[in-house]
Amino acid sequence: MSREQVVHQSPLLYRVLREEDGTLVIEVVVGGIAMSAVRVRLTEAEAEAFTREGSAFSDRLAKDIMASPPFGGRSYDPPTG
Amino acid sequence: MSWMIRGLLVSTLLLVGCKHAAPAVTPEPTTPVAETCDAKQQEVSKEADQRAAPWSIEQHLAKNFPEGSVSWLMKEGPYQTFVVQSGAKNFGRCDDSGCYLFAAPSSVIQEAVKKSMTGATHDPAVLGQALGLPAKNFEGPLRMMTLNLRASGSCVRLPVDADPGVWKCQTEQDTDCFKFGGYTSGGVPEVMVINAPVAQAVVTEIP
Repeated sequence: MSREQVVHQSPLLYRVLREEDGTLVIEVVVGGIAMSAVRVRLTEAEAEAFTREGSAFSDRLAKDIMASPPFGGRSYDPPTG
Repeated sequence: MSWMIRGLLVSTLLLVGCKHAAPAVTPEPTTPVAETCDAKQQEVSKEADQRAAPWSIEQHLAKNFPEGSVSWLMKEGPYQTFVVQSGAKNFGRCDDSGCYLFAAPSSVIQEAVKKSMTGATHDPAVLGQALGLPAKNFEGPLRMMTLNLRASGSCVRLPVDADPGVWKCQTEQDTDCFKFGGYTSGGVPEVMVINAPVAQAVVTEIP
């Protein structure tokens, strides 16, 4: 399993991670009475926006992902274990 | 013989669980829901009731939550990350105004889990079918949380489009998304619980 660093964790039930190669990934809890999580790799523009705006940007991104967990086919399951 | 073993396993799972604290189960007179909500949530609840009229949260609770207890499920990974490791005080998605959690009647969730147990583990397909949600939502180990609403004093109202975590359905045929009215797209009764205390929930492992 790759090493990853938690950059930001929010009570909105998401966290931003930095993977070993520097890529930023957001992990978001989705669902209602049955909750699971999905991950989305940030694009270069999104990563820049996060660096610039911090949690204001990641809050918006997390809410967008909660509102449509497939996120245009960009989301994937977090690794297990 | 196998049904006996399965029955024992399910009973053990449901009864033993991982109990944070024993919620009081003594029936008490029902407190009007509005009295347990702050001013903001009372207003949201009032608007939701007006939209749902002639249905209301009080009717919804009386019909679908007579035991006064709610349950919900969470995959093991997010439970560990966002509840245990973060030391969460309340379940759900939190902002400055509170923590927002979708929950269903305990009897519905517990019956679905019981039905899904095959040997030592649950069958995601059976659980998904019972709750009207995709099997994928239930793959791997789960946690089932149960909360006595009366004992916790949490605010409860009909969920609304603006609630954190809402995935709005685009068509009538869509499942696994939010439809206003107090029922999931799979037809399971649901409520929005605001500030459900972690310490008062009974947490059960579902292998």
